Amino acid sequence: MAMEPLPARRPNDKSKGKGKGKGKFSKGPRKEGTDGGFKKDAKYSPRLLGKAYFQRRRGCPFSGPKATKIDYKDVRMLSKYLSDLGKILPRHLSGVCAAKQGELATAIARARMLALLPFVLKADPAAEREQRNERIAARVARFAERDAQRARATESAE
Amino acid sequence: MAFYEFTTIIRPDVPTTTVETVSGKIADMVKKHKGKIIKTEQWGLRTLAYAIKKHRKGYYTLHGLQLNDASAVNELEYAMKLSDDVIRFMTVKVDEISKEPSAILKAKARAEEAELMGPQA
Repeated sequence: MAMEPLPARRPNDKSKGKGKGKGKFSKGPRKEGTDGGFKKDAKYSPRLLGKAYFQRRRGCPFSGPKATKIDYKDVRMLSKYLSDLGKILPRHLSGVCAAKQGELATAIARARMLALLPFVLKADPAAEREQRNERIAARVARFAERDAQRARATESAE
Repeated sequence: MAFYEFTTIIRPDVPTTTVETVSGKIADMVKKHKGKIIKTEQWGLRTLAYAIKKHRKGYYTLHGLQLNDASAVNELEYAMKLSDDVIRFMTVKVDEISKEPSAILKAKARAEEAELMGPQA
């Protein structure tokens, strides 16, 4: 073995791996010093970025061996994928894959047709009432001010 | 030969026997077209997520049907459209009809159980 500089290790270069990891994302023995200096232009594989990179990645709940079935009658399951206002959550929030998002949308549409799910949900009614009261109070204040101004105007005219 | 899930919502202000009458009508029509009723589920009086024809509640019934031709579905839907008691219905073509109770019935059973367990806990 000549002591020439080591070639840059690419993440997919399995021939040089220790043979311990089975898949692309398996935890290989971490090289020392890889976490230290983060270089801007260097190519970083997910493995080098560490655990935090994976923590956000959850698989699609409707794919894979333990997948839940998408059923328009399963209100409890479907309501997990609705926002507070009853809208369907976007995929980047729910982590559902594209194909299953389509099925999910169909199922939600069917559940809405049967009045199992709402088309729209009112935001918190109590908060809404408070907002309305505030609006009304503001309007009343505006009217009072206008009346006062008019009174002053007529007074000065006289 | 195809399987269908046929769900109807019946208005709440009719005598409870209407649910059976409508089910009977559906059964007759299915029989006429040489189909089969694989299962029938009564979901009971449920609160609707929104008002339908000013009703806030309705009697839900699910029929799992096996029909030979689409004309049977057309006829069923036409009859439901004309019926005053049925405020909403939906037909869904499915690959198979499971023998197990549907998610709605399971949720109902769960709720009842929770109610029973409530005072103890």
